[in-house]
Amino acid sequence: MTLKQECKAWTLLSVGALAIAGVFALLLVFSRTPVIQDILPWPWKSFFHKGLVTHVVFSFVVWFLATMGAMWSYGYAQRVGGAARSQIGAVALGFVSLGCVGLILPALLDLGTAELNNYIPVMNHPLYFAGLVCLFLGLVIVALRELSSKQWGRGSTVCAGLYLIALCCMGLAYSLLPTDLAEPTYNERLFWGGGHVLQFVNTALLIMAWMYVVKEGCGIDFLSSPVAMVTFALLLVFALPAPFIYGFFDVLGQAHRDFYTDMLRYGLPLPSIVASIGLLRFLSSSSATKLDRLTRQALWLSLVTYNLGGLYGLMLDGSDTRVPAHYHAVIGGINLAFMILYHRVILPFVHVDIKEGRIFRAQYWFYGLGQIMHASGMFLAGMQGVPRKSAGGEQALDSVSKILSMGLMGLGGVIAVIGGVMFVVITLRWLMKGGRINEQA
Amino acid sequence: MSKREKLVITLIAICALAIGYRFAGSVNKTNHFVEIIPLTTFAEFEKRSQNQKRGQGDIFLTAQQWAWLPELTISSDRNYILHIATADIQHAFHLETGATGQSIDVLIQPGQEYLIKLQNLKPGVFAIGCTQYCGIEHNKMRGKLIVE
Repeated sequence: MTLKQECKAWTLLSVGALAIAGVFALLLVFSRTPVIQDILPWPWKSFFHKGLVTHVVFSFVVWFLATMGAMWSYGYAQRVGGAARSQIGAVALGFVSLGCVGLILPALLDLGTAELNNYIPVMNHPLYFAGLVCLFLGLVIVALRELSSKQWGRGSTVCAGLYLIALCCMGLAYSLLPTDLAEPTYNERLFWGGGHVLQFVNTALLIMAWMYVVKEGCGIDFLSSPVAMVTFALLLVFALPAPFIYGFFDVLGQAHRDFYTDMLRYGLPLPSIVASIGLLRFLSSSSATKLDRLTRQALWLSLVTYNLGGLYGLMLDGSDTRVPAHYHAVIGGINLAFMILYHRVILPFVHVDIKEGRIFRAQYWFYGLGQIMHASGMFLAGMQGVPRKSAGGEQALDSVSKILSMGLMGLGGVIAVIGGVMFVVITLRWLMKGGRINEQA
Repeated sequence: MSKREKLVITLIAICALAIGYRFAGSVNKTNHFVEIIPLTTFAEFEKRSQNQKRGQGDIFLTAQQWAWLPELTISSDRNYILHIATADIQHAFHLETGATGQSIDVLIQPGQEYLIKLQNLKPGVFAIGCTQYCGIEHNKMRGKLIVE
């Protein structure tokens, strides 16, 4: 398999993961719809949470990790040539594809019980855990290939290092956690440290996506090589202690738990600010006009949405809707960067033709503005004490301002979903029409 | 490397050192307002909780999947010791900032009793949440602290 073919396969996996997440979102709606719920071939009551786990794992974990695979294969191809072959990439893709099957089946076959723990929600069933292991292992293979390049200052190499640190934390948690622990506590603690480190991976991916898009669009590095190196190194420095904490503090204790939340609080803002200032300076400069209008708009939307999320993150307090406001905006900003990365960098690289039009441009505005409205509505509601993950009477929407805030959240959510669906449908159609890549001929 | 790059990197390094210093200081910080004592049996804690009377300085709260019991009503003109224990698995007690002027977040482990000082209370109804995932209905684990 050539690196271009590999990159296309990662793209299919990542966008396909969003499509699978979308199908599960629809099934979730059906499982709560009278009459239709009786037609579904599985018990809708138990399906709801299982479907939700599958939806989250595909729309967040698989989408991000497969995009990481696409970025690594693209970056590797830049160094060794797109026509170069990599059998190891095919093996990695095989593991990840197998993993995806393992992640889907428990929900469809009504196996195990659902657990909506942080970062990597799970189904308590060996098939699901086998799926997770295959998924992670597939990316370990390409991470090792990335590390073997020994170009330590590159974002992609740092990202590979961060990914391995995250898995190392999960492995340590697995070895230290008592096996007789209650399942909710076990799963939460199993992915607590590693899940936090994965947010460093996601930040590295965001910065890499911004850099690839700008570089591909106008040949400019908006962060000079030394500054980029320092920015990525900061992510690594703050994440590096993560595995060692397992040796110092009780894996079930408060100190262990707080360390990782503090690691995010202290470790992520500085690299994010440096990269954001770099991108802001570039977009405000005359050099930015070398980029096409849509790319500039998408980068602005990504920058604003991501930093809005960061700003909301500074004002969190416990369990109101400011928490989801923070991460929805941050994830929205990263997703926007991935969307433009696929359309401007990855798809042209794998020879998939893009037809631009109103709908193509609209998807960015729908998704970006929708996410900003959605997150801002939640933030305003949270400021007034509306609890997160609640519905109906539990929300206690006893004032006009609370109702308006949650209304803004709902409207923004619908608009963002329309934008997201447009991205998946448009991009998958192009990918399917793109045909095989025979660039080696 | 240009002079400007050197300046930028120096600035980043200074910021990173300052942040790193604060981060290091936050590791394993002691909660001065929390005391932890071993609990022989939960039944013994439950008994004390059931016998609590309004107006006492010691108040009791039980964490269990997925509720905080009982709903507590206290007065703003005095200090309290809040005793918390879990009836089942790990939970985390979170009291929003408005109640005492600082956000309280304490991990509640089975087999331990947590004594939390509640000082400088302000009148109002304050949300009690669980910030440790504790099962599929974790989001429903909410309570109220009413300060009169």
